[in-house]
Amino acid sequence: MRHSLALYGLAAFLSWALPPVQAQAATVAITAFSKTNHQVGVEWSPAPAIDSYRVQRATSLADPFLDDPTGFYSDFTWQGTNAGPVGFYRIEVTPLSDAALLTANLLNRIAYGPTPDELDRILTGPNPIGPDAYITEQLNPQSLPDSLDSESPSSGWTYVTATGTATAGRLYLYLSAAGSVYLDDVTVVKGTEPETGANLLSNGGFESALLPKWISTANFSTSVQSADQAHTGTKSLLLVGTAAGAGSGNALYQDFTGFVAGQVYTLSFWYLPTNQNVKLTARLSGTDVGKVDVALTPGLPRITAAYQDLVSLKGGLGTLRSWFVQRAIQSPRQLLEVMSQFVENHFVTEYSKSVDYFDRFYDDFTLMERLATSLEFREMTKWRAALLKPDCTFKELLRISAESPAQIIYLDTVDSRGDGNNVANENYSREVLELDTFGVDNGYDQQDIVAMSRAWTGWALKVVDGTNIDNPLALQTTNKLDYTLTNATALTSISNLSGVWAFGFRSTRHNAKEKIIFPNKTVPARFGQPWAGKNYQLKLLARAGNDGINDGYDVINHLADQPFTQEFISVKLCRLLVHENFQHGVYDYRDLAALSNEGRLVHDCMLAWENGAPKGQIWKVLQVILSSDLFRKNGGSMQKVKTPLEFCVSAIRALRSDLGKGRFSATSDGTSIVGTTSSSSSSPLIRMGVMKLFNRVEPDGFTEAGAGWISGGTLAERAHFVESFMMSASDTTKLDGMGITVNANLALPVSLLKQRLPSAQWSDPSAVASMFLGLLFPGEGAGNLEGYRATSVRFLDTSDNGTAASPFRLLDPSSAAYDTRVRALVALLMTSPRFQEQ
Amino acid sequence: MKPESFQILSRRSFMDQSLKTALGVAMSTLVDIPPVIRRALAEGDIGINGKKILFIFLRGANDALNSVSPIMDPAYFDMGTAATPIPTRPDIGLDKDPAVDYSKSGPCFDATQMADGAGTARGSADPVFSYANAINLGNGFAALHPSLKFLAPIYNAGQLCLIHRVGYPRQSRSHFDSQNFWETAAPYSNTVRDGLFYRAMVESGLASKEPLTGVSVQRSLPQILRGSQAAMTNLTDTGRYSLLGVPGNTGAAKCATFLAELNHHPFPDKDNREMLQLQYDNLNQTLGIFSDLKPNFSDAGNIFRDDGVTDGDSDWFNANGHQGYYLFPTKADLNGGYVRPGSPTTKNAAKYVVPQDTTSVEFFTNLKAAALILNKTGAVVAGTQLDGFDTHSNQGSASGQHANLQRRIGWAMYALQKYFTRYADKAAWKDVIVVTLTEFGRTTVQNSNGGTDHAEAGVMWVAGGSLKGYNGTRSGVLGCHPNDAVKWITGPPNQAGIGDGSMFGVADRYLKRAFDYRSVLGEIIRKHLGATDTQLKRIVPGYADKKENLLAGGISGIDGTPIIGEPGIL
Repeated sequence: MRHSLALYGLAAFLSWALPPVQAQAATVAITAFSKTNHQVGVEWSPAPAIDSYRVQRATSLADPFLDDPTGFYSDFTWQGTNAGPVGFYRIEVTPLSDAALLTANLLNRIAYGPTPDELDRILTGPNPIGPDAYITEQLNPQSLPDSLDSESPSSGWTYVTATGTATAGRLYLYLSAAGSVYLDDVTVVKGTEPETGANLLSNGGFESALLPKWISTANFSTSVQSADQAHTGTKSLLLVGTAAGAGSGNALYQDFTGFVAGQVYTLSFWYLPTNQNVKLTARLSGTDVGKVDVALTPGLPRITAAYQDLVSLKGGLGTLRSWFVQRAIQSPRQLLEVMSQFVENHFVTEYSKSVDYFDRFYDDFTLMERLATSLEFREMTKWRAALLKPDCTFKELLRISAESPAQIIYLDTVDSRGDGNNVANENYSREVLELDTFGVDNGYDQQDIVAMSRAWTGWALKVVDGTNIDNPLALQTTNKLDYTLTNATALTSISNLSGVWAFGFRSTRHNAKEKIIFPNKTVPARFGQPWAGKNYQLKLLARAGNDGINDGYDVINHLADQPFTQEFISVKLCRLLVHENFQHGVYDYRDLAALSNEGRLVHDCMLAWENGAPKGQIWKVLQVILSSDLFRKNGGSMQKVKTPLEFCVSAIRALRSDLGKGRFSATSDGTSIVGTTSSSSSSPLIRMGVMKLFNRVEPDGFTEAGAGWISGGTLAERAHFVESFMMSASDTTKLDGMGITVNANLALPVSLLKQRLPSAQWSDPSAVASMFLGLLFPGEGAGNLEGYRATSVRFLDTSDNGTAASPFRLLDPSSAAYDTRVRALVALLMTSPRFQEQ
Repeated sequence: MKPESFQILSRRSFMDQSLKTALGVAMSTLVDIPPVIRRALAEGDIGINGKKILFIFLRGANDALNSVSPIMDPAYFDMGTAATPIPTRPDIGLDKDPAVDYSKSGPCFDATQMADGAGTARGSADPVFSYANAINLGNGFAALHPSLKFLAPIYNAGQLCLIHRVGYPRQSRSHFDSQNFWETAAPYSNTVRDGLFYRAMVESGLASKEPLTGVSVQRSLPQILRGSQAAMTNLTDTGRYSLLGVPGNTGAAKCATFLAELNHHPFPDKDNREMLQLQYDNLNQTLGIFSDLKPNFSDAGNIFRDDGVTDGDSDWFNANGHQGYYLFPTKADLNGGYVRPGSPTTKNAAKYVVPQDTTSVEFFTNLKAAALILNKTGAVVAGTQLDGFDTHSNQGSASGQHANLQRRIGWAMYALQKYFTRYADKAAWKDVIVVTLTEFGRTTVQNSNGGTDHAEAGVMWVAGGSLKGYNGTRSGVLGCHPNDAVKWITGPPNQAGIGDGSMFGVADRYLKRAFDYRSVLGEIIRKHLGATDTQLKRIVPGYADKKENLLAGGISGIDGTPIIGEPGIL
């Protein structure tokens, strides 16, 4: 798709613009044209999503326009050569394809950022499925296989690699105690890529006898070549230890050939776990660099392990956050992950307030933390189960939130009373209208809040038997932890009950009188049909006893599908997926032709909400947004600033490609993003603007507005995060005060580069820069990234001190210097303004 | 009458006219407003008269009636009748000191000098917060919460004004709307979206040429400093305002250079790109400044101390080189008289001036940085925030949750007065005004959880060396007396022949306003910062609308409520 956009004549200074042939890129225009001392200059304004801009020249208007190769491009300007040929000029513009733009928008918005593999799968690989197929699969998450929560411990042969700068050329293998393990295919190569180049070890496959190359000493002298197991070939090593090893003089070792001190080496091997409670260590002598420890009792994969801890109430907030953020990185159900965070953030609750609540009953802080975490996990589990249903409704999500003990504690309903002279607490009543359903100043007033606050009285918590976890009318459990206590107070104390904390209705606190909410209020005319003019008064008759609980349910049912709710939730989803500038409470839907594109999209969402059976189906509303031009074109492209969560996760994903053998070019343990404990005040997410997942103090949720996240201070923290992420695993400054003991945000950008580029281009700074620009900014278009590319090339050609020239092509692609240069480039690009956007 | 038009030159439209054509050539000039515009904006004295503002936003809505309490209003205690009493605040209300006559005029009772209202001298062994009754403010009507006792010496020096019944027409009870309205100084406006102090800095003409004009030290740049035409600065962590670089720290310089280069490549316009570009430039320009201040940002550099005996603790004073407590309690050992004289291992938690917890550490670390920035750089406005005022449950009374929050305010004001007096460099106490903001007050009547809900008018603390506060005859309490220009009406709602008491002046349960917060901030911006009337109308748009009566007071044309106008504190 090519088209010319503007045409300027030199000879007669004629100028006119050709009408654009495609609506998408209507805004490229030549803004200045000059001829100074026989030198022609052209300047133009850029347009979004442009793959290339080319200046073309024709000698006369009758002649064809051809690329002018004589000039020099820089930031949407072009300078011809001095005394070069002159003529008529135009800009030839090649936009990004619709599919490429849509793919980028999808991966930025309904996923936590593009990954190299997903880009290939949808767009750039050999058999791309195309963006619309991606939309279909993401709108039906139940159809996408996802076993991240239920994987088994790794069994069979497992692959391990380690890279480091060596100070000595001897490889040690030993165990931490008596035990044994099979090893096969041990390699040590020069450079950062495992098994790339010659293996410096002899007999790494153990197809020959151990001696003379492999020397066993002390506790490992009974190690043997074994024919019982083999990863490749027919033999392997059975490393046998009679007691702990230590390296020198007490290990199996081999001196490898051609060792050079200070050179980067990469070790790799396969091992067969033996379920023995010992640890295998492989390392080079004289240094811990390149050291790798492997537990021979394989643990569960991290996500599964976290999930199991949470299900069995053994997880704290750190576990929940780590589970959540690792799912965001790895889940095939990306839109489900995005929606999980949206719903969690919309119906926000504060973990710490639950801890404070449990502090009334318990002394054990770990117990209080786990209970509070379980409330957050329980509501999240319910929302995710609801979202996995194709006809999931907003009403269902709202009800889960209203019934959630975390919410009942958070907005003070737990102690609110409406009986007698008590004044009901207004907190939940206000926020359920302002933040959960109608939106601020949209269809309600203070009298409605006060009236509704009485409806919620009695919605409290109880400790019940596990089977009654979802029965708010159940009686308190009678199971005691300890019947041997003789003290009557201890026996009846809540801390001595064995059960679960659940939503429990307390009828004695309920205001049993009649309540009228929204008295004779009608839907404003601006909503148009089918909503305008409808009376939405809610009259709750006097209710006695347990029947009082239905006040709350009547309110939920009444609020969930009102046009105000439809509008506010649609606006919030559009802000999530398209851009920030959608408003509730202002659009006049009576005259759609006069309404903005944004207003019309909200209206389309509301119609999908209203006309569904049942009403309020979330996936139907999402489908409307994903089908809209606003989302699919530039309106949904790079208009938003990533939240700290989106920023961190997208940084990992941007480099995360499957390298085979269970290796990925970027990984995170989650903890290195969210911190280990609830009080981690120095985790990356906290430092970038206090994004305390599951523990926000204010009920409005984390903002979608970019200005709320960006300042010099938070940008400095974003830089710290990516720069320490991009440091190699052995870098001592990688920790960076993030409140974590091991920074396990790891990246292998050179492995990614070598996977995706032919070796002939490994030393070509332009090819290397372009590859990373394409992965990091797929929606921008190479034409618009030209300035970034030029700077990146100069960066690659500059030494690490920032001043001296150091041509990239002269760096050995297997050297530490090359590795560092590439890491630094990726860090720079991820620190740049454009990577803050999605 | 139609409001006079309110318009600030938008950077976007200005760029369209004059700079876009030169984009490729001089992107580095993007943050510079051309001199001709700069001069046109730089009328008045803002930024060149040496006057500065330090703001503290109290997020969550402070319960004003337990900060400055109308102790002589019987309805503060009971809103019922003799026959059927209805306690107004049975669990949270303050108690009178039986030894004190709150109707007598005079100075504020200074509990930092005495142990009790009867004037019994205290020993320095007494804990810091031994006085638990309402502190007599000496205006014959109002009392101060005992957790605010460190305000007394500032008040009696005439350097503190307590402005009560502050709100705005059609008060929003939403935290987020109302915080926005305070910060934009434009309630319910669809056109004014940038911040009050941001606009003041733009009007100074400095915002586009000086890297530091408006600064916040907190988790994110607050709305009051946001705007699209120039970047205000925010620090999240004073110790980490730097680039790391790869590898290790040796790449930081290279990263900074190339990041600046990346930031100046033009791109197609998108929603957040101008904001990002300005903030990146600001980061780059301020890295060096904050690097220079880093020694004093750190705990090791936290050497600032009271020059006299603090809180009557003469033991501590005598044992510590005849200096008082540390001013910024950023750790336990710097928190009041915790470390007892004689032996550094003797500790007394009763001598903390503020609760020793992460909230205090973070708040005073941020407050210290804000004060240092005002004192050591050209910044004109700096501030931070204190969270946690949304006390819907278990608010407490003389002690407890709300009292702990207020202890930090009281000590902050005291510390700032001492800091800018004793350590003045570019900002002396006479040049500084400290002002608190909060989105609204809380319900007059307590709820069933021993807390208070969202309500209407609140209280503002204003402190500074050049304020017209208490002077023996003039009171520093404004808006909390039956003789005010807009009278404080005592008693419960719906009194025969009188109507609602002030505490029940809106919907029978909210404190009715007598001041508009824009008049308070307007007076500070006009008289202290030195804005011209024309500038003031651009900074606080309501001033341009005569029927709002923000300057001299009158009947608000928006909702018919009588208001006092500017409080006359300067």
